[in-house]
Amino acid sequence: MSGPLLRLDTISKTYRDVTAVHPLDLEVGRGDFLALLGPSGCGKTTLLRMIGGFLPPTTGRVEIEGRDVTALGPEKRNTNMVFQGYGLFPHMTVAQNIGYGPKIAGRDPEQIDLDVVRMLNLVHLNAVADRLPAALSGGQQQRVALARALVMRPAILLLDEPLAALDLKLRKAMQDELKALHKAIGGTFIFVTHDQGEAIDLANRIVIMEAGRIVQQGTPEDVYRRPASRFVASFVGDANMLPARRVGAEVAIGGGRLPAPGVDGDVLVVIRPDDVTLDATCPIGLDGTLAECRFMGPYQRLTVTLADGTQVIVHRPSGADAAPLPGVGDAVRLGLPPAACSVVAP
Amino acid sequence: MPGRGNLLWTGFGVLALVFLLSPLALVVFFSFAENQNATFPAGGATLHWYGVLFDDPDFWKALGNSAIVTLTVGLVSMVVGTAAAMTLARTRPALANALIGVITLPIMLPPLVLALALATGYSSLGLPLGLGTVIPSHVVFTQPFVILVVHAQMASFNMAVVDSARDLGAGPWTIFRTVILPIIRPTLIGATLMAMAVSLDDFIITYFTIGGGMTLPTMIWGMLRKALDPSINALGALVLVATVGTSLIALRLTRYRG
Ligand SMILES: Nc1ncnc2c1ncn2[C@@H]1O[C@H](COP(=O)(O)OP(=O)(O)O)[C@@H](O)[C@H]1O
Ligand SMILES: [Mg+2]
Repeated sequence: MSGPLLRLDTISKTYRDVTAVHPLDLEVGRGDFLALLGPSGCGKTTLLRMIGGFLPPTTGRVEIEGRDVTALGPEKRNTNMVFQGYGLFPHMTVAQNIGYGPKIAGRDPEQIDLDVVRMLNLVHLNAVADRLPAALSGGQQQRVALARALVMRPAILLLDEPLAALDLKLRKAMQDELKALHKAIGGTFIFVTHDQGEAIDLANRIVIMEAGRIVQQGTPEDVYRRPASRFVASFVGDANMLPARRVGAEVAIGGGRLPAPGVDGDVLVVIRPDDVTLDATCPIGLDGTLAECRFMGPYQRLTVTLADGTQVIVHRPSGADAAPLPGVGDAVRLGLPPAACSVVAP
Repeated sequence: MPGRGNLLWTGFGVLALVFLLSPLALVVFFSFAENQNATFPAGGATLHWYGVLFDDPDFWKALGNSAIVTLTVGLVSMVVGTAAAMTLARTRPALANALIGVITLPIMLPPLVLALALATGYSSLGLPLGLGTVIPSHVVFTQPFVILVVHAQMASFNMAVVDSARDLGAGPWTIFRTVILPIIRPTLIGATLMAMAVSLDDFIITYFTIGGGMTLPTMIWGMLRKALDPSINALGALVLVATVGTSLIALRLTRYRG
């Protein structure tokens, strides 16, 4: 089939007097691993629940596989959800939890057993198949929730903050597992997160939300390298923001010029700490003083104070072949590769 | 001296307990005593009074009625109470609290007032008094127990479990049967037993609404008015065991949080 797998058309949600999601359009392609990224309260869960059919939208349409499903509840949609907090059935074993959906669907009991075993293998839970959820670790519960949803072979798997409840180490392991799972079954995943690192690591497409609106979407590299707004720049990764002025679709900074279509006025030049160099030959150069130098393990974090008082953070690899550093208090010249600079509204 | 203070409180507590429990203990004690008048000296131990009781056809009649009332009231309170609690759980909190206030009114009212109101109601409707009027009367004051206990559990219920079941294709009834019911079952059984215990030993409401028939408590009342017959103690002891037994099981079950 051509066309997107999921299409949201001017979808919005208003709770009494709060508009959680403003009318927005979104298309998700087959095989996508899409992250809905944004700070807490920006409407991610609301949007996900409208896709899953748990919340009727105030306006707009939801289409899945070309079919209008706006009026259908979750039980009638070809989507499955992994809930924040998992929502496992506490009175059923792991195997019974996984077998619940197929049983409701009236699949053949022998087929159900096979499906359950296949899922247990997929998420490495064979050893705990007969345990109750309460007797599982957080990571295991997470995997049961995944298996329980995936056994339904959903067209779209929805995940609400799937890793938020796990500790850091487990979270990294589960990120790898989720990626492997997505690859293994070749499905379409949409997940909600407020963790930009997680979104960048897992997703092939990121949709960034702010206060109920989509403010940017693209590949992780797009949103990281070419933030469309000050909000995106500061929310995704670390960013240096240098005040400048736009005149005649150009921004003059550090002796160079950046092409920047738009009306004249104040702007911010955004550059990532790892893109700033100490290369004096760079066409854009800024003079400053090294104020601090911290060893961060894989990289060094330099703080440079410019003449106007602006501080610029620079990340440099701390490997053996890294160039020797100037001392604290020394004058340094920072190089800003034009391709790494974005211009956003202040 | 905390030691002495503690001792004092312990002593006071024991005294209070003895005071509260001694009448009950006496009932049980005299149900096994030979003395005709249920006074000291009690004489030897005997099962004679239980024999007298079991030979009384009124006892079997009252027992049968009590069984019918208690079981029906338990069943109806369970179903009605659960349905009400599920509806309340889906109502917005302000309205739900107001409704709970109305529903629990019968247990706040003095039983005598409630009994009078019910009896007047039945007679004005021209309903003949009997078990058919006793049962709904009991339900009026037993269902609040079920509603309150089940509603309290639903308030802390993990709704993601219900969402999950829906997501996996289950309809409302299937969700209730396969997910909600198994999770709240211990609470539900406990609340039902509590309702049954309350129904089993109710006297006032039964007395006003039963007309000519008898349940165990109204039979005790009737026996008290006649000659003091120690088999009344045997009957009292039996009702005591049944009520306390169901209440204890109910408490155990409702405290269990699976
Ligand atoms: N059931 C509801 N009733 C009223 N307001 C709600 C409800 N659910 C969410 N909201 C509001 O909608 C906004 C978005 O919520 P949510 O979608 O949960 O955000 P996120 O998942 O991004 O943290 C928040 O301001 C929240 O307070
Ligand atoms: Mg959320």
